[in-house]
Amino acid sequence: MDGQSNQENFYRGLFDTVHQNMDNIRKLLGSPDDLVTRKITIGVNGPVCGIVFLEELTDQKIMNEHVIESLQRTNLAFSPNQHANEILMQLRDAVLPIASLQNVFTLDEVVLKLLEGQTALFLDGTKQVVMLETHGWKERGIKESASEKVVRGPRDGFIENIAVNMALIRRKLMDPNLKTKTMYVGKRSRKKVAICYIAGIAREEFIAELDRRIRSIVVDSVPEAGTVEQWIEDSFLSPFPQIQSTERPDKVVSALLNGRAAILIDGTPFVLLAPVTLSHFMISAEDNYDRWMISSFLRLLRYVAAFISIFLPALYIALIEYHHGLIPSKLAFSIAGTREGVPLPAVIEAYMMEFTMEILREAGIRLPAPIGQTIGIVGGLVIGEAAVQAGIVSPIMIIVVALTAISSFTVPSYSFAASLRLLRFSVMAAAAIFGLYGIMICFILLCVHITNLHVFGIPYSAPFAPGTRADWKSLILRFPLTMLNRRARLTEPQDTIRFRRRSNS
Amino acid sequence: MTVFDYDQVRPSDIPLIVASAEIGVSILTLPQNITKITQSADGWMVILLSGIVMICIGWFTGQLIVRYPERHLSDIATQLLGVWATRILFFIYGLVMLNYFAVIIRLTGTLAKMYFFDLTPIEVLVLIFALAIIYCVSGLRIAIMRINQMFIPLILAALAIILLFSFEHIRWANFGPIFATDWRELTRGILGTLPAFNGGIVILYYGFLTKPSPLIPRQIMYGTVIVTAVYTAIFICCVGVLGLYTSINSLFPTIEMAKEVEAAGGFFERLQSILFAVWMLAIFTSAVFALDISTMMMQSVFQKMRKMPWILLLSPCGYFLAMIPRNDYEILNWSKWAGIAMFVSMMPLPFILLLAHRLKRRRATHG
Amino acid sequence: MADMRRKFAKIVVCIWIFAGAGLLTGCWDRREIEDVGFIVGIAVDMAEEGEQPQAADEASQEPLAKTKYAVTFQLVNPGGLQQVGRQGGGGGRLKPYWNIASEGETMMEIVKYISTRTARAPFFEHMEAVLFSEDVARSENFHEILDFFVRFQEMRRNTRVLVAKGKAASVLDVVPPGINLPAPYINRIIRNMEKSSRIILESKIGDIYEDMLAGRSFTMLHIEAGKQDSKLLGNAVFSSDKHHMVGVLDGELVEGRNLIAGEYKTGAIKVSIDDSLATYNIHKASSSVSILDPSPDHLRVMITIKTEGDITESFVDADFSKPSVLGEFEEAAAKEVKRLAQQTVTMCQERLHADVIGLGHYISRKHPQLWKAVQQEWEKGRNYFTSAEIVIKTEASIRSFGVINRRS
Repeated sequence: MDGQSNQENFYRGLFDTVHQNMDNIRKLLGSPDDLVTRKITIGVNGPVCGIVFLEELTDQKIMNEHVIESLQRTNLAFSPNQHANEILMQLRDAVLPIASLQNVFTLDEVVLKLLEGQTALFLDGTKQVVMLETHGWKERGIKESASEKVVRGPRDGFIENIAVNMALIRRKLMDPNLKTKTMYVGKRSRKKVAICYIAGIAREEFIAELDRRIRSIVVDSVPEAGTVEQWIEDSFLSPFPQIQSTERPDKVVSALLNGRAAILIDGTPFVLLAPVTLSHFMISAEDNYDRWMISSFLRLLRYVAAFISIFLPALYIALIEYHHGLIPSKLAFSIAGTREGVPLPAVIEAYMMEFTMEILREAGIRLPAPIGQTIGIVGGLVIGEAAVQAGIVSPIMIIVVALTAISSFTVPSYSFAASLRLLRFSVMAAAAIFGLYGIMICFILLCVHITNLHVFGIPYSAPFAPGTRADWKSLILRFPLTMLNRRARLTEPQDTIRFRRRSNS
Repeated sequence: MTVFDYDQVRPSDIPLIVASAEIGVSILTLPQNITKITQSADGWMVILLSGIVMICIGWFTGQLIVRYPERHLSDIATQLLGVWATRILFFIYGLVMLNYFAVIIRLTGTLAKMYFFDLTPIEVLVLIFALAIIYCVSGLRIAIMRINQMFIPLILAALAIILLFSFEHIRWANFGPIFATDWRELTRGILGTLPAFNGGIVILYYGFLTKPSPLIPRQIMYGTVIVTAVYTAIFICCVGVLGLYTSINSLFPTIEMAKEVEAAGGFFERLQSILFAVWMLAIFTSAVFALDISTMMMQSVFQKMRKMPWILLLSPCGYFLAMIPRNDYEILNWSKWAGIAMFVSMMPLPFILLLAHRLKRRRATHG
Repeated sequence: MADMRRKFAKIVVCIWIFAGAGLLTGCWDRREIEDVGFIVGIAVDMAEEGEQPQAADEASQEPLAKTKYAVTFQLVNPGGLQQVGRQGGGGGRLKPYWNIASEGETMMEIVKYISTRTARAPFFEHMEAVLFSEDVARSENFHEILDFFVRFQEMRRNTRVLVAKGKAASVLDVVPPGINLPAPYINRIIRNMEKSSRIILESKIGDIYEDMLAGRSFTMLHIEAGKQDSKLLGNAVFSSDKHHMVGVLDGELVEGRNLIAGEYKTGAIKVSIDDSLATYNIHKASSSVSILDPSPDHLRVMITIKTEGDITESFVDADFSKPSVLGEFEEAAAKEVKRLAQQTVTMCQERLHADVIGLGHYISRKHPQLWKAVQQEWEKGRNYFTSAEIVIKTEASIRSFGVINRRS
């Protein structure tokens, strides 16, 4: 029974009797331990119904108090000639104090819903089954997301339950135009996936395309948002992420208001946002909560930091090994002096230190919290200091590596920062061979790649080129709120007006 | 599957593209070219006058694009001039642009070798630059437009920084007698400067990508206005900082000027590296246009092949062509003639087509 | 279709791999920064007769030209610089610089000899000062030796050039207490000079190149090496004809030149009044030129110098509240300024035959027709510069006379 396709042992339809149905289901599911099948007499001497549920997936309190108790204690009288469907209707309308229940007619639906934590109610004499919403399992409480901390702003984060996540979004966006399209993805995992968008802002064709892409995913399971992301992205060869993921509801809401769509996936707290361009990865959630001067400054700072995190080690290599005339004289002498006893050429030194930094970073993730934080930065610097004392690397290298690492943490999005890390190594190689010329060629190649990359038809370089004033005002710099009266034209929203500037009274 | 409407160039983007196409090789050689001809510091007048000429040409180009919206240039030309005339003309253009592409990549290699490298063979430098250009050209055409839009603010910002910092080093005494050049030398100067604005013709070949709009001629003119201002500023700063005779005698006066400029009490001693970096961006865009237009022309002449094989065929030819000149003098001479050839052969096209358009219309209404 | 694209992609990938592999064998120009020999100063002297050549290949070279130069290069020793920075580290004391000299007929030849003797390859982009001895500057072939400094790519246009009194190499050995490297020290004196009272017009190789191309006379700073410090004396004057040194403008002549050129920033001059002395501190000085008689043969030019300043010291116990007294002082100051200017003009016209007061440049800008006529023989041949009559008119105005009126 285990391990073989259980398509031969059971009947793929529903029976009339409770007993047969319950047997069938048990055979279908392979008699798991947590499958509970019970026969309950309705009322004092009413008909017998059967309830089937998976124990760990259902809330026992609801089962006991609301389902079983209400069934057993009901005062409803049943006449013997009543058709089973009528009885079911009476049960539904008058007996069961369950808020959400529905009739289903196929075995597939029964089993799927059972696996979602609902309870199936069978009655002799009918093939109709009532599914009761009784799910309840242990899950995390709502806490701030560990990967996207802000100083100012709401501190709730998504959890693994799609219904709760949906609720979090709805609480922030009480717009009747907020629509969802749900579907089930994954042959074996049957994860519930929902596309959220605001009708009237997001483009219908875009939503249709997104829908098509998700529906076209034919895999065994979709364990995390990342799987969906990798299946629907435009180009898997590009180092850049083409879909953004976030754990913060406020970020999702702001994206929805800009004409983008959110993809929620059951079982993961990460929600996908599409479409996305370069500038979106540089926006932090709190940019809109702080005042415009500091926000604009911080955004520019992030761009500079991203630039540093890709190019600084390469610039170091180029200046130290090729273009000695480009450093100011005193600095050049000072660097040459500190590198006197260093055995390795600058390239090897740079690669070595960068790899060490990557190893430290990766290790720091897995260490328990108190040790992890310490090893992370301090360990890097201590190791670096020791290496300098031993004369293996020069102190300038340590500064460069530290600055690069810190700059890469400034980028708000983890996946984007990861792609920057990868690029850094290739640019270092180019600098090692051709110096500043190589760095410029790399920069050019990067820009060419970015402009050629399309995400759902929007160029990745979109707010930079081509860009409109509205895009620049809200996506790249952050102009005062009073000036952000139009939505960014990036996703070509249908309704472009956020507010009207002239007051009516 | 394009859901959004990002396939076309908006009219507001056109000035940036035109400016980016025009700013290229010339920012380095312009002061020397002009002062050698005029032998005086009146070159700024020459630049302004050339700019005005170019602005007019740009206006005509815009008129042509407005009359045939969203149509490929080969379509328009075939309709107005006939199949064979178009084929011959475009074949010539393809060769001229390939030549220009070869000039640019060789010049880049030469400059990199002169200022950055010593032992690295120039073939390698030219090769990797050519590979980068090929990578760009094998992407989408609309992406080429976007690259130009992205690069031009960087180029302008860096040039602005360098020029601002060089301002304090300008000796106004270097400007000598003003208005002392006679009209003959001025005319020769204008003729020598016009190829510096060669990029202005490029927009004609990408007319099919622009959104139809009556604003197009105006926007093309704005692009050239930006470039004229930039060239004038560079010229004034070069002659002011270096002096007239040094400008005449230096091969690349702009680089010498950038070397001289020190900023912020000596820390930013080496602004020349910024200049070189942005010059590479500027010249990259010019070379991309050259190769892309060359491919476009060949594609329209021989309808059978797709884009990628043409690129692979033309680029090695361009590379070998680039390796022919043997010394600096030959390169500079060649680049001068390539610029002139490009200007002379391609600049009349909008006029010819507009004339043909006018004639056809007249024939249609009268006949 | 898809097959073709796949094959195509494979070809492209192969090309990239081969290109990459080919390129990785490269890195032709990689040079570690600690292997670079930073040269911060060059001193060019005449080679002394009968000196033993210092390397074998120098002896085998047949002399092609006649003049042999002895050039000293100052190389930075960065490790030594670090030690000095750390207050003289333990172990052996490394000198932060190293002066190495060689002889030859061309600069590149000498550079070649040097590089066979140093552990590091010479690198000129951080050069601070170039010094020539007076012998070299006065030689007829001086402009030949300048070629290296303008043509070579690593040279920068704003490297400072100076003429040294005596041996140029000795200036590169002067290390005052608290300073690490001699060549940057020279640079620093020049920069500080701008803030001190007596300013001497500095000389950068780029400007000199421009003057040479324009056919103008130019000056270089004149420096003398002492025991513990170097002193800037004034300007060494170079003629436009052969571009060699013809004389010096030192001491008071420098002041006169600055006054005429309008570059006088601030300074004190001694004024004699009533057989006694006073000090006139100039705050502002400006000069203007006007042509009185534009015919080339009897050129008459008037240079007007206006100064503004204070009386900061007076041996004469005068009552400054009376306007006549102030007028006397102003006249005396004007006379002194005129004397200084006249001295310089006479020196330039009669002794040096070199127009370093900027008269020719002025004429070329404002009166191009006249300049066309006199340009060819301005400082040679008919010597229009020397035969020109230069009238100097001075005006001095006194703003204040200190915090007291009478002294006693």
